[in-house]
Amino acid sequence: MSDLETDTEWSHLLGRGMDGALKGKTLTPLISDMVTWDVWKREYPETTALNMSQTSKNYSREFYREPTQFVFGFKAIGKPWSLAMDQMLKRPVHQFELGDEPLLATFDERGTVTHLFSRDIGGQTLDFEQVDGLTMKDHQTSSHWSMITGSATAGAMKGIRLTPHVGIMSYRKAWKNFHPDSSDIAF
Amino acid sequence: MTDKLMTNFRLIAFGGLAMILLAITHSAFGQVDDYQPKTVLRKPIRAITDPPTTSAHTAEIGDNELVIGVEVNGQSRAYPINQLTGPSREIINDELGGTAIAATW
Repeated sequence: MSDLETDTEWSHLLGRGMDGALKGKTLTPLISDMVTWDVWKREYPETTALNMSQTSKNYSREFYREPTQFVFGFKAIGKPWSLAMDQMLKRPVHQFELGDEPLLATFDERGTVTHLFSRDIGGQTLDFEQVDGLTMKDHQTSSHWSMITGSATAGAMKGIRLTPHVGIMSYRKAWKNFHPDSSDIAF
Repeated sequence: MTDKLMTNFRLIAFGGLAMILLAITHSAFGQVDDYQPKTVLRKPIRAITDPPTTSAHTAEIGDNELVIGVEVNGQSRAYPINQLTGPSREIINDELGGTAIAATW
């Protein structure tokens, strides 16, 4: 993409100025969710929504046709990593560590999206397992948590929220093209 | 370090699908000397700025439709994927919670 103000060319996957006056600058990624509209409305009842004509009818079908094509890409401890979406489909709560950082990836099958959180709460590392649907519990306190928002919904941790990490869903090939040094997270 | 330049984007080349929301502030980053775009459009696609939005109550979006949701400074907005999939819609320049953002696909 290019910007209208300086005509700098940007990589919209990297969010980085590639050629022109703003070459070398980077845009700040925002934490976002890809969820179904009913889930988003429930979490954010005061939300607004883009109101343009449709360009397709049902995107999620694309994902289920070939889930092996997709990864959830993110950066941690100074390098890029990818989570295979077909593996997340099989294991919707996946815990791992990178460096000293305990992480948790969750998968919303209906929303076809992965969320990534830190498992560290004030210096305590929590371990999680899926209870049902989009609910998980931690082993340490048996509190129940939303797999979408990372918020504790019941138990001793109620009201606490896991720190989310920025990541993007991408075609596996595109992620590798832009991040050739990316490593796959083991399952 | 970041600055607060307001920037609007338009599509000039096709790339891989990804859902990304970007805050439009610029900061220094690493080297980009290996930049080699594969496909650059002869005529850039017109930028979408100030896109129309509506409330949750009046939005005509199916409950099962996928949206990209983002919250900035207490304000939230959903971008239905079914409104973003064509080349002319791959970049939505917008403003939310006092921050210039771009939803790119």
